[in-house]
Amino acid sequence: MRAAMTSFASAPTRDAVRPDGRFGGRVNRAPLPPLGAVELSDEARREIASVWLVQAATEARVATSFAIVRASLDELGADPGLIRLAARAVDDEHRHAALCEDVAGRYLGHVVSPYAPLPDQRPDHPGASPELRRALFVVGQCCLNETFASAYLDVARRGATIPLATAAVRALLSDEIDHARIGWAFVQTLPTAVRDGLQAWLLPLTVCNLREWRRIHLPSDDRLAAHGIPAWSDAQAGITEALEGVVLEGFRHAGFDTRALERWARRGAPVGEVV
Amino acid sequence: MIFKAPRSVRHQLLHTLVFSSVLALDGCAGGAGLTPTPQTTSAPSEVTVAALPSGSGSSSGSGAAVAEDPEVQVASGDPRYCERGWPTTKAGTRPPAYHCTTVTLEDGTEREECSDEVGPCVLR
Repeated sequence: MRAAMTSFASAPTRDAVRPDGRFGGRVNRAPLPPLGAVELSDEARREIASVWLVQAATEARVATSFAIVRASLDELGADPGLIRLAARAVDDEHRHAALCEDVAGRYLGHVVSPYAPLPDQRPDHPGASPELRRALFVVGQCCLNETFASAYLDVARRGATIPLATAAVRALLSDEIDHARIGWAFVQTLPTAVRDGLQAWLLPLTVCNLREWRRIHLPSDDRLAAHGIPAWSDAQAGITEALEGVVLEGFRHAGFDTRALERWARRGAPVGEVV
Repeated sequence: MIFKAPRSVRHQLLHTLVFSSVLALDGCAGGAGLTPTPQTTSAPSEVTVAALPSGSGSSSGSGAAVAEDPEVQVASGDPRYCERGWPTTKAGTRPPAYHCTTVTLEDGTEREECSDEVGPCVLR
């Protein structure tokens, strides 16, 4: 049953949550609060639910990303604590998918259909040695992608006023922080050879991962901010702030030369546009 | 904006994500070949500077800035700048590139599959 009676997530998505996961098979530490008496048109409810349902799909896809990260850490002989966290992150992302479906369902007032799955996606890192490629997987997914995700959620948390949205965003942010820490702890344990190889990739790795975040589509205003969906400009400002204040500082803290990244960031961190 | 801010007001996530990340480690003794790196915020060692690609890590100057421009790097054929990054966990509203099709499975059931893949890497 696993809290099925209180969830508006679809059964297949809930069933993907492992019983030995972070909350023993539950989707969240505590059930989400009801939407309550919020005045919304049917159109607005559908729009908000649609965003949360798309997010369920993107969260679930990242479970595959963390399976790759977990395998990479294992093959690199990384610290066991990081391997455990990465293994748990796979299940975390399935929980997130269920959580996002639950939110979508609460806006619609009924259990939702399962999210439409997205194809897996991962970088190839052409020219990198197998060992370096594994390290790049960890740094790209954890130091960059999950840090940007944390920044996004931090912005969403500040704008959310509906208790349901606030609780959901807080739950997601709490886990994303753990996921980013995998990378930041990892870069502080790198052997010299891998570190030197990684140094030459810091800028392209950051450009390519930031580009993905610049491509996300959000409202041009804050009309949905109360529901955990920030305006595009606010989200991008938070991500840029995290680039400068967390990513660059983090790499510097780990002993990397960040001067090239700093110069790029000062010019506005251009990522171009992939067409 | 952050570059002009005093250290005391820098991003709170820096402390949460980076400085406290070592709490995730069981300890480095069990890691094959992985040893802790001394944490420093000082200038990088000569080794790391020497490992930088051409045009990186040098002192400020217009030549270095051009070489670090991702658009220039892509134009020069550097495939490292032309990759898709890891997929984001947040999609926002359904973007224009996000399209869905209905596929028929072997058992005859239909299923909707969606993609947000983009075309070849061309920076403009």
